[in-house]
Amino acid sequence: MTLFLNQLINGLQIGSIYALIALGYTMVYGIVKLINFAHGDIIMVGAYAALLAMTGLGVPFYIAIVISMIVCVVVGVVIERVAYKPLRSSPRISSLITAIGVSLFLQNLAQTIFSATPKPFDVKISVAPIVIGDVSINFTTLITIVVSLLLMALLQFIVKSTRTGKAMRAVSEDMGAAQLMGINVNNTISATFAIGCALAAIGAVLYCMAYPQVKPTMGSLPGLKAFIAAVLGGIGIIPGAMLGGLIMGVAESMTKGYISSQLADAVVYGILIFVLLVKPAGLLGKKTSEKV
Amino acid sequence: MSLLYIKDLKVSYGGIEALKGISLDVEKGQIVALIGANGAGKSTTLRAISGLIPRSQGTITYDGQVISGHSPQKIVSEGICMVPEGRRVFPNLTVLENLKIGGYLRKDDIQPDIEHVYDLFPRLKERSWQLAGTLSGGEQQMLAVGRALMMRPKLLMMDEPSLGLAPLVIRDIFKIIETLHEEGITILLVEQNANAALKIADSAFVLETGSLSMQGTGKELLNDPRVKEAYLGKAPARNGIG
Amino acid sequence: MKKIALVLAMIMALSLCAPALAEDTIKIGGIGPLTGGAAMYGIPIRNGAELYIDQLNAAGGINGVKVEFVWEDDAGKNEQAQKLYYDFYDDGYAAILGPVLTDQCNVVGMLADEDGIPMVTPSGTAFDITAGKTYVYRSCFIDEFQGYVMANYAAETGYKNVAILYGADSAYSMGLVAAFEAQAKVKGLTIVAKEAANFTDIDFKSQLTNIKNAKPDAVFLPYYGDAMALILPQAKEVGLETIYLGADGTANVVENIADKSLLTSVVYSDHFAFDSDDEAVVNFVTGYTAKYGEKPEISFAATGYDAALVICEAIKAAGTTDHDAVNEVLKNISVEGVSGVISFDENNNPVKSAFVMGFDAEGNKHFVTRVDP
Repeated sequence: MTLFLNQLINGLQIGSIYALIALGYTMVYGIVKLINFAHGDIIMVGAYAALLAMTGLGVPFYIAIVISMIVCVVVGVVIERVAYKPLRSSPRISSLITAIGVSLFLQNLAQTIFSATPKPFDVKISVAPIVIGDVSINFTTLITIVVSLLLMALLQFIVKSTRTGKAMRAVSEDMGAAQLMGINVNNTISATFAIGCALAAIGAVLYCMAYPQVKPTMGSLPGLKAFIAAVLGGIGIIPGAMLGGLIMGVAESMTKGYISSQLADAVVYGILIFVLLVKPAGLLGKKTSEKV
Repeated sequence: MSLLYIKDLKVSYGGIEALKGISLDVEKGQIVALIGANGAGKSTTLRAISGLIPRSQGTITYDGQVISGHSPQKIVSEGICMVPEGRRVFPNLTVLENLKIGGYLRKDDIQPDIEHVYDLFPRLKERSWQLAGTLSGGEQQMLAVGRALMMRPKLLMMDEPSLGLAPLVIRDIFKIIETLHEEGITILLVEQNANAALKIADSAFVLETGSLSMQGTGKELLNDPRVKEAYLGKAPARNGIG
Repeated sequence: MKKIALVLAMIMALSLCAPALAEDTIKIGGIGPLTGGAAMYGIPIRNGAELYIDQLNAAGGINGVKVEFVWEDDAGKNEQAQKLYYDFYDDGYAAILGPVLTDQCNVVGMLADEDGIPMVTPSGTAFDITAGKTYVYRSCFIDEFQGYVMANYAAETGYKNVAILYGADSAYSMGLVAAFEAQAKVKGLTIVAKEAANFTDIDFKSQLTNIKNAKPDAVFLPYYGDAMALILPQAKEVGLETIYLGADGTANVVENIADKSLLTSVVYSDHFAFDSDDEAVVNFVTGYTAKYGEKPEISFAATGYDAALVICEAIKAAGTTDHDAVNEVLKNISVEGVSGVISFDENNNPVKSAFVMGFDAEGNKHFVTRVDP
């Protein structure tokens, strides 16, 4: 039982990071129907930004997070304006390929600037683990899960109840109609990228706290996993991304813990395939028929 | 006095001229109908007025001010609202949320406007918490109109409001248009259902492949043999009601 | 019959020696990455080898003939290494020192063996690089040997119950685990948990949680430094407190890990101990530091030095740069290098001692013990 709970906590930790990143994928997909493959690399940008802020500027950890968020937001919005916006009315495959291009560009740029050598990410949080019975929860783990859940709740609030959130929902439902309501579509899309990237920056820092290593390709793996999480939950649907992320994290952890680490990916992809066969739009996805 | 005056408006899409220089004016407080076949440029005219598509030439004057070149947001905030073709309600938002988004640019209290829309369309009040996508076609059209009213428009542009609706519902929709007209809203109505549109229109224009071919009062055009032949005979069938 | 052939070969070799050493220089070609990710290995190895050649030339070279040592950058790429090899071979080089990475060692090793030119890699640790080849040697010990060493170390230190976490998709990791398990069996150790991961995995918590549950005295971790830098903090997070046994890949963990205090629970086997008080070692370290302005950081700097030493000693003993003559000497050579006495077994692997190293809380390496073969 203790082992099970420990594995569950392991899964929830990585799962909530997947979920945070998946939110960025799903929000962007929801609004511009673009699978932003560069989103994973925003994690890398955020990690380097936080690292440089701490080692270069010598600022404390919490300020580094803010700097990382600012950098990611700027990078994300610039990418959208420069690379995606001109292609908004082009076939989707064009934007998709551009997104892959942006991803490679970011990785190679980072490799040129910072070299391929992994850099240690040094955050010393020395708080004793919390012990409940036989189960001990590390402080980093706890922080990750709690912060992620809070951010998801905050995002739900933003989307449901704020003016920007309403605009985002309207644009994602029907860009043309939203324009007729006086919604500035460009600004709304920028805001979506900005929020997604800010979440990715926090995700990046949480990721680095758990896996303290920064390198140019570090975003690929969590990016891919988060993308799968978004599809699993129903891409374009915010609660779906959270659910998908948590399911993936727990499934991975349980498979590694009880079956075989070699099968972890197979199980995760197996779940994805099964879900898509039964519910093609994802767990929380609604069946949509294309308008004729 | 004209509320909206369009002069020599040209619009091109990728080399094809959709509007070849049309001039028309919409008198304050009138219902103006714009009729014509599919692809004649009716929707293009509305979209150009809304600022959604750029014009290649011409000016659009509204309430004494040139608005051509303004952003769609600015044009909406100046009081020109559109009920788009196909209704385009936000299907996964509730009726109430749809209405609130309609008042997106409003800074003041929009509660009275919501009440007003509910008074006009009691069915919407009953379904206030329902997702717009689950409404019937007629109800969606009511919602689309209600949503446009949230900005308290001076000029309401309606693009094919009867499209795809049952004849009984179409009658309701035209009744609503007349009600709005009585409230003092100027209406620019684009319709393929020329018969119904001309009946309620104070004045009307006929668009043919990007140019205005005829104009007159609703009654004049309704009795014009050319209009009768071209638009009144077959129009409802072409709409594909059912 | 064989002996006669050998004698004939020796005579032929000797008859060729005079003209060969009459040349102005003896040329030795080095191949290995100076750019790219693996430059961290290539550069210290070149430095080590150059240091030996410099010292040798300063002392008059080989029988009065200077050695010209040319190192070219293969950037860790097979095609590049192959091209460099052909250049050296065509230009009549006496021997090849390198390549550095396993892949390039396989490629160049195959060619060198066909062409019959002696090659000594200072760092190619995979078994197949030299096995079954006549002209290909190495100055480092092979991966598997370290599994054997660490099992012996665990047994001697009293770690009865050991766990293993390894990369199931890595030949390096698998080879070490196989040797470790075999020797653990011999020594009567109990393997309480054996958890696989992928070599490039980021998250190891689930496996570490299982290992924690098995309560091992020590965990064998045949990983490279970058992965170790991920594993150790996660082990701390899941509350696993134990001793970690690594292999030579562990050495560069210092550069990758932020919390250096985690390293105090790590010991690993290495080719060399810089802080040994052996005279040859002290000379090597001071010489290296004087020449390059920094201390040698990885043990391959020493195996690079030894590779150059072995090649030059063989040429000296052969009295010629003739490939076959030098090769015959290499087969039976026994020389004292900085990393111990080197001779080669039937698979051209060096038979030499391994060093067990540890870290202090600042990440400085220190010599723990020496495990002899």
